[in-house]
Amino acid sequence: MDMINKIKSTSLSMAEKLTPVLKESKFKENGRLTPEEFVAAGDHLVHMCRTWNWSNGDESKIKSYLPADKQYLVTKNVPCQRRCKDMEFSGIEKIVEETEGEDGWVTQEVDDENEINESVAEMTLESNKIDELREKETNTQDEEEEEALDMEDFEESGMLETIDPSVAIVQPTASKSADPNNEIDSVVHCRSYDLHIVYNKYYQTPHLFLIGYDENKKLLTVDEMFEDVSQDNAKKTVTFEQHPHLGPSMLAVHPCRHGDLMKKFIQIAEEGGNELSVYSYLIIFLKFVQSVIPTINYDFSQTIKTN
Amino acid sequence: MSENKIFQYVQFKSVVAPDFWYKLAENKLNIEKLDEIDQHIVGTYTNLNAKNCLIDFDCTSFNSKIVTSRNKFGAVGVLKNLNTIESFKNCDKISLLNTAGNQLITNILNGTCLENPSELASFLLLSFADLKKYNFYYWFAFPASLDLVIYEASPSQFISEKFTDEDIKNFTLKIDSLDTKQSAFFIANKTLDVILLKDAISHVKTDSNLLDFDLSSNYFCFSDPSESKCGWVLRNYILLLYLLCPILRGQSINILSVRQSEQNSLKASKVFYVTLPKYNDDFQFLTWTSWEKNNNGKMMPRIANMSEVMDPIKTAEHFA
Repeated sequence: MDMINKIKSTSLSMAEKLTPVLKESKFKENGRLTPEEFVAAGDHLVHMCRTWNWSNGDESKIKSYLPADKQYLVTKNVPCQRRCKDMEFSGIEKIVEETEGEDGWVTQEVDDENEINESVAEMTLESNKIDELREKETNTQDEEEEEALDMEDFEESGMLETIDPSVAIVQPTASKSADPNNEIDSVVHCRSYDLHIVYNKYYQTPHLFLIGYDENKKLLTVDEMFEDVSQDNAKKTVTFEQHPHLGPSMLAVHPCRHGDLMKKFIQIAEEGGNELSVYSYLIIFLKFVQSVIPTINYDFSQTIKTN
Repeated sequence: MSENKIFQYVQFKSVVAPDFWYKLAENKLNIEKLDEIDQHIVGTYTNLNAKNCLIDFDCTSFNSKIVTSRNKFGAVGVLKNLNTIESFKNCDKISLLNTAGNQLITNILNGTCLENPSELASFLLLSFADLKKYNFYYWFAFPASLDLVIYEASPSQFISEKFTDEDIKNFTLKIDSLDTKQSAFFIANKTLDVILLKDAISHVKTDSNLLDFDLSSNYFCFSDPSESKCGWVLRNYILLLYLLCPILRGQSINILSVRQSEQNSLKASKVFYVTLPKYNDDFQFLTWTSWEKNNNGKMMPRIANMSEVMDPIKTAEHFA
């Protein structure tokens, strides 16, 4: 599967160049979007959720089929307090859709915070898991120490260290519990993510990219970022790809099934006597990708009526 | 008693996205090469659900056209990217900061900051890019005058304690209709009507600025990226008011920190009451602060290692 993804993403960047821009609306028919519809849906999202903004991206990488100042949507510093990977020990997930081979979407319920907190607290880790975590922690400590050594030369002597009475002392956010008996499962790292919604010209759907930072705003490693992805989707629906507007690679929710899923949503809505407008595309899109990244808390939007 | 309490600001905390370093490296290789030229770049901050006084940098920091939006405000600064680690280490950081501070004073006195208040949110970025290892050494400074100290006049109040719901609702609409350059720093009267800085203050005849202004019923407003105490941007706004409005010296003024949340609410906004100092006429603002401390609270630069997302060999491992 991984290998397939690799080949897919390389060939797709070629295919994207060759695919003509979608001109006529295919929204009702197959859940796809024209660039104009993407912009309209994006404008609606920005209007409804103030945390989302349009970005022009890197000016040298502007895609001509989108307006120069509306290249993709972005929301920054979205908090992510729990590791999705850890939550899955407690088995609070359920399958919403009949799984069709490997591509089935798995969703997790995160509505009841208390329940989760309880189950996290009760969670007993198998001893090998604990060792694994311990080992990992030591490794990160080593790395940090190494870095600190390298940097020590750079520390400036008293000259810059003027006492400034007008600076508010902000308490650093405590990341570890003081209780030594509890040291493993009470470690809470509040990470944050930047999310980008890009128009994928090949699939003619939105394409979600994400990149995460630790509590000190230091970039996470790719493996760490995968901890915040529903484990059934990690490395299947979620891959590591180059961002078309930026350059560096980021995690991306693979868009191959977005069109079909959206079509399903349209059908469900129609059966309930509602018509979904293309404007609400991205709001619905964000609802269903939430199942892939359940602990990244970006969704402040209203509920969507489907019945 | 409370009159002697020094008013304190929350410092900016820089957040640099990987695409910022990617663009910096690309420019270094393709455009600047061995030149060390000062580049004008921008950062952004928000007052929407704001926490920790963050300032963001990404590839759009290098763009010629800045796309801001209702709650996204620009900060203007200079990037000094040096060629060698030695020059990065040895360069005179104090004189760099003083230059940036003096530039800020110039921009206030010549009216630039009235025309474009975003210039008040100023920064300096010193960097060295080790392109072989994808290591970026960097250090931000957010210039502010160390000499200008203000005092708390009385305890702060929430916006709802001072204004009616109707006024607050209209105020939201008025701010939304402003260009974010202007809504970053402005003035509001007792019914929260907006007055732009450039309409109220002149940089030419400063002695006549705000002469018939009732200080108790007007509010100096700014969009605040901090959630508790006031964010760093207020500090240079106070400097502007001190320099351009001599009538305010030694007086108490009202500060309105504008903080928004989702659903368009301004309820986290607060009114602060502060007293400005009165220095001698020949007082000079000579000492500038401050370089950003690293995560351990030490006075040193940071390293961002971008090999995870930029090194083709490493990224290939994850593609596979």
